[in-house]
Amino acid sequence: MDAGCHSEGTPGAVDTALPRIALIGSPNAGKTSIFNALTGMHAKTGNYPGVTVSRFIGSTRIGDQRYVIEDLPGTYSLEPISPDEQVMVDVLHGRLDGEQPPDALLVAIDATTLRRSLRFVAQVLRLGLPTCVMVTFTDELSGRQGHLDVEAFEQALGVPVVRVIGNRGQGIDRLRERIAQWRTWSAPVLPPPADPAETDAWAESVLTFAAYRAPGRHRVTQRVDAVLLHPVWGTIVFFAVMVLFFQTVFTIAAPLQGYVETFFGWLSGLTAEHIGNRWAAGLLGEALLGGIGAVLVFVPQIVLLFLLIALLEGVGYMSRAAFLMDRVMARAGLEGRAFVALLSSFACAIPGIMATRTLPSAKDRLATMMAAPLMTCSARLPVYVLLIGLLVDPQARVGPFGVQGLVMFGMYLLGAVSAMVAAWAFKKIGDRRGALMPFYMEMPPYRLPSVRSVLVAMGHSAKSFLRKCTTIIAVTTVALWLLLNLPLHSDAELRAHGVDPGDSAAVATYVTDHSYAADLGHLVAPVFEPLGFDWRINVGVLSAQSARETFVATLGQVAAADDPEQPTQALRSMTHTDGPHAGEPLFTAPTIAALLVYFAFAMQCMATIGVMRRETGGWKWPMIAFSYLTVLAWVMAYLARTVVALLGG
Amino acid sequence: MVLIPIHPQPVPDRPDQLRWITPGGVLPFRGVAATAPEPLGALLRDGTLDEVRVETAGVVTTLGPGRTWSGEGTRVRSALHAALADPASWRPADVADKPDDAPLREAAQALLDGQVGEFARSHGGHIELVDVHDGTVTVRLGGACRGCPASRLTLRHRLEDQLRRRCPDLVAVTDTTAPQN
Amino acid sequence: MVRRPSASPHPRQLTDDAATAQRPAGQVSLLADLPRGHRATVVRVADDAHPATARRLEDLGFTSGTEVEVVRRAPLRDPVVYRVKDYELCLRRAQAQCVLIREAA
Repeated sequence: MDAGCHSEGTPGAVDTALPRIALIGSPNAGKTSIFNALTGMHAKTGNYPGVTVSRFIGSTRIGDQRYVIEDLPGTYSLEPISPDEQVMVDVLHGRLDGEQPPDALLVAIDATTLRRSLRFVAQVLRLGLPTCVMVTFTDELSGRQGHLDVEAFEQALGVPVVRVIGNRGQGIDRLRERIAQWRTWSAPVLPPPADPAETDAWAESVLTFAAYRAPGRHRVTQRVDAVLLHPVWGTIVFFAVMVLFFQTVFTIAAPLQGYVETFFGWLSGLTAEHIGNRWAAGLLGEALLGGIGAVLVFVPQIVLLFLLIALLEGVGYMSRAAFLMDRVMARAGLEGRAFVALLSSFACAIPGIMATRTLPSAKDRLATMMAAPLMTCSARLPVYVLLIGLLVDPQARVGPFGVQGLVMFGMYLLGAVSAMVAAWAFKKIGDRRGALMPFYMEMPPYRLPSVRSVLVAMGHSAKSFLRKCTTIIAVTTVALWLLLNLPLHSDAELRAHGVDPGDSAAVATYVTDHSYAADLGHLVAPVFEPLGFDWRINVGVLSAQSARETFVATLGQVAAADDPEQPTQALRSMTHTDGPHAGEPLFTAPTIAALLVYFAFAMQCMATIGVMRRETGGWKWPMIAFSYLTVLAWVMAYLARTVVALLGG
Repeated sequence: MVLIPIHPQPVPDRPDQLRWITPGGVLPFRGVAATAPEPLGALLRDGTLDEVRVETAGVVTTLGPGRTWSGEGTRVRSALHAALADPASWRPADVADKPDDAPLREAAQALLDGQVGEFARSHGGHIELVDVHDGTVTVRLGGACRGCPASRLTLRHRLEDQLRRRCPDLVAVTDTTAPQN
Repeated sequence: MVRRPSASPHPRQLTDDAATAQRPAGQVSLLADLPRGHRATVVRVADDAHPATARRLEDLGFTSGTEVEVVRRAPLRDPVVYRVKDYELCLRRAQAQCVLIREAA
């Protein structure tokens, strides 16, 4: 992104005349709360050039002057050790194309970690830009028997210091007043030292002058961590939290999604009633409305997932979860924080991919993104249910367990294991060139996040999903509808082929069987023939490209089922129409196994591709993911088929 | 090697001076330094610094003519760190200054009449100035403060902090309150 | 530029002794070998540590003369939570091996 982004975010203003303020600080200092309080929800996002790091720029009005405010990524140091950090330093020095350094800096430091933070403050003051220090969590400092004389601190540093309690919104007004005076901010009489030993000495001197008393241990954190990070109890609680996480999603999001689907179903029914032309009704009702509906149906799940993630992150539990899982993740070359991203993908890969933002290493982010689609997302569930129902007798048992349940569990396991292997492989490929980033993770005290910051985090994610994925999902839905419903057939044509135009189910079957999608299905038949798929299954797989769960309905249509949503009976009686297996049942065990495995691996969700494109800033990586996963799906499906055929004798 | 904590403060109306706040009692005298350990001594000799004066809890450095802090500040800081590590090699220019107690007395009285005294009164106690001598301020506490060691400590620290900021030459604040039996 | 004291004996040799032998207080050892609940003072970051790791560790607070305490280990022994400069963070063994410490008596 270049300077052009400013003009998009501030309509009607000349961007070069607006003062640019940059917010910097360490990750848990409450910087983003302050940014949200200053700019509200009006932050434009994008990526920094050349890296997969999101850029947040907003604006605020103080008096009659508008200011552009940028929330730089949280960091512990201005000495970069990765390309991501280098970009941030480049922003501060105005080294990005077409950009100047910011006009002024706001540094957020946590009063409870002042001793460490002063080293960072020293680095910032050495930049020589007008700087104002915002001290956060002073209430927590007092609560933990700490103390800071803010005026003395200001005198010692030589720059303005404002006390801000971000999660309560206190001090924001005073901060805004200070921002308005940015041209008159005092500067230190001498920049702080660069030498590490001298910096420590400088910091200690400043702290003594400011009568700083370090906080005692946070009692609540200590007590809670004694359980949450206990080798046994902690792991138990961890899995309980994860189960609760998913339970909430399925219990709350699923009904909401049902409402959305019902609403759009009703809407398209309405259009069918009021538009005479069957085809036009279909285009408007099913394609267009269906496209929009397909986007909106994601929203409850995504919003809820992001709410939960923002809550857990805001409270401070995420670092505990990452701490517990780091060793396991390290086996795949990743780190603890990647676990959260992968786990979210069990519900939906989209929040999972977006959650990779918390990973400091770009290579980790990519490897996790490439692996996330392999996790068994909720969209695969209806497909698995259908196929397992075809494959396994509901009464079959192994010991106390139903075989159907076991196979389902096996599919989940397959998803998780293949995701880990994929992550490991991508990390390996990526690592050949660079050195490994050191692993470190702050364990902040448990804090109550402000309701506002949680809602804003959730809102931002939902907004960015909608902005970037609506097009791709809607376009795919419409395109697929067209493929499945063209060419048009007149009533006379239908009768000539023995189809009663009044029988909508028969018409639907006929249309599907003679559609362009069917042509495509026949076209790719040689490719999928070794897997045991015929052209009708191919059509189903193709339609799953927009959303996996449509596989069930499409297949139902193709099979001329009485109720396309419950096509099991119809599918069982399907036979090959031609070729060497003509007359034999289509859904044999090897074929079903191949289909199951194909769905486990194939990347069929356009929304995921859209999100990947947004996060990586280009088409390269989504295309790589799509290619490798499709090839993998074919190979693994063939393997599955062969194995099952052998086992079947 | 752990360095002595110091940080610079501007001196009002003297842009050619910097007051380096140090812990109290690091150096054995107060007043202008005639010689200081290398490399600080070298800075004095080559004209970078005109004068180095030792205070109770600080060192005031004066730039030579035509020099700037943006130019020399880093070198002066590093030299000062090195020199403070060797306090025995500092030599005073002449007999050490006798501290002038008058400004200290004024400042102490003002604080006791003002915010420090108010603070004591708001907790049901009171604080009074007993003596100021050679940079040491002696006070006596009464009322609720008298029997409570914690409040006496708080009060004393408060007075010390505020006083030292106004008069860096302050040596200490002592408390002659008789303990309650 | 960062001034570092002259190179010390290869710090990696310490792990063989430190693991089995008794460590008299005052001897330089690795942060990675400090048992849970123990306190120590940072001597410095090892000279042969990767420069990026060394810089980051110092920025995180592992500077000469700083006190550090081992708070807890993860269920599978790694990573480990340390308390340094008034806050807590976790490091993997690979990073903790880069910090030279002197244990308190």
